[in-house]
Amino acid sequence: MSVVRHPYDNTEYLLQGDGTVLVRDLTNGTEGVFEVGGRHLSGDLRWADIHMLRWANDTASGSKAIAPDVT
Amino acid sequence: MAILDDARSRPRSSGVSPQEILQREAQRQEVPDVLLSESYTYLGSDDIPAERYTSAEYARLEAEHLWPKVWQMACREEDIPEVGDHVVYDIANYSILVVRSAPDVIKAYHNSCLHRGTQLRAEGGSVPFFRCSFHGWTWNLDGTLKRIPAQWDFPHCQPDRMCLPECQVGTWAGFVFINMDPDAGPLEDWLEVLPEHFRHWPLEKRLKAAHVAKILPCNWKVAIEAFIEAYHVSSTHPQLAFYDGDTNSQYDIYGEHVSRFVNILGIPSPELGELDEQTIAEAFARDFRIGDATAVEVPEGSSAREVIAETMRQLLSAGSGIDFSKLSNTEAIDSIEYYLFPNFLPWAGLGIPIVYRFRPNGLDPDTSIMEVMLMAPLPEGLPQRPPPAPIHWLESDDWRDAPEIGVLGLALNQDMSNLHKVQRGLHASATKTVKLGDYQEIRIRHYHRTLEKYVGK
Repeated sequence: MSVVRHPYDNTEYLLQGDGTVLVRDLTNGTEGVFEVGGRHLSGDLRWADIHMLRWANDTASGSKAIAPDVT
Repeated sequence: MAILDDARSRPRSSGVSPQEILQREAQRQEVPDVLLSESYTYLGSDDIPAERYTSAEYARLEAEHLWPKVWQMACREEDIPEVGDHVVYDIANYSILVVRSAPDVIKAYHNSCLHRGTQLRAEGGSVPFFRCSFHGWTWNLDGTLKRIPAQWDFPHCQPDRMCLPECQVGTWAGFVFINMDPDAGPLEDWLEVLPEHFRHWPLEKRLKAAHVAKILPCNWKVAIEAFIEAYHVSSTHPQLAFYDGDTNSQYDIYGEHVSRFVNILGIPSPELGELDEQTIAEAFARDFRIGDATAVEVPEGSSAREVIAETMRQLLSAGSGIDFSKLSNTEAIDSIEYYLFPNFLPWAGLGIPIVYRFRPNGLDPDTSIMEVMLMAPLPEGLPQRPPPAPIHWLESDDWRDAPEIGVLGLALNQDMSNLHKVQRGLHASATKTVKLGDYQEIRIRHYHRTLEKYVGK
């Protein structure tokens, strides 16, 4: 599971096995579950940063560095 | 250092400036002189009319007054290495054939049969001549008429007056540029400061290692404007805040055609405040996939920027067989992006070796074509130059389906999620205008001034 920390909101984003993202507010402990596209699915926390949802999903993939290797 | 009088007279981010960092690093590294100066001028604070992005009439005016008049990058020289190799360069409602007609000659023709207008080529390839598929009219690669079937029926078509209409052709840094206007000035004048600046980063010595194209749901100018400022970074790419000095990037404008930003990496966003160097280095290494993020270590007295730049130098050297041990920090890791009016964006430096090109999609104001190229350092001493990457048209909405651009695709996915909303919102705008920041969005304002000279307001 990949956890990413939002730099501004004191929240963390956890990609779950079913492809949804669990968002946790570290200030008050509330949680919400969201689709990667931003739709709220469950939980008291009803807003999440759509760009961090996308990042939490995408960064779990095996993408390589940008600089190409030509050797 | 040539800071214009106006460069520091207006508000800036409270963060450390790129010049402070680069001047300091220049004390112990060879930082290219062109990166040790600023070139900002206040251009007013007027709004931009939203209809420039949404109006079919404005797209038609661009097709009439802009695209037939400007120098534009059509392909790489390496895309057409042999005689007969050609590409089809489509722009707005125009189609141009760019062909190597002789070993050292590249020509460009309007891609339209002089008989009844059929496109001579629908796509690039290699041919001994250009033969229209409809009735067989044929031209030599040098544009002279080769054959008209049943010539007896065309006594009014004198062969010496039936050459394919040509465009002007120029080359720079391994790129082929065309201009449809026979009266246009030379490419060298159009490029302004680019050759002087890119003498430090000779793109002709690079290999096009990736080339991905995708149709976007927005106007071509909306797309460009999403990539020529770093103001959006803290909102659209919040994960970068740990190691990207986003709002203290430097913006420069030159002449009428060229601008750039210098976006310093390896320092935190000024919006975030101070962070410990170890956190910065780990976040960068993790997100950029350079080395083992859990093993990166910032020694006492060093900095995250130093450590990740050194890691990048080693990776670049290993990946190319070239010694990059003397490469400056800024060339190794920073985002140094140039723009050439109207639609060509070559990046300097080596850690993020991008070239972007944006084009309208026909005459549709609501869609455009984005292309991403990665320009890899070409190892010296190779028996022959490797072939460039062919274009990969991305059908899906997920840039991770273009694995050849690596983690860049993840950032592009974040950018893409805004673009259709920008386009729809511009149509829905009550004010019918776009507002711009005086500094961070100066490159947008700068190129619109040039656009107005061709298309009007």
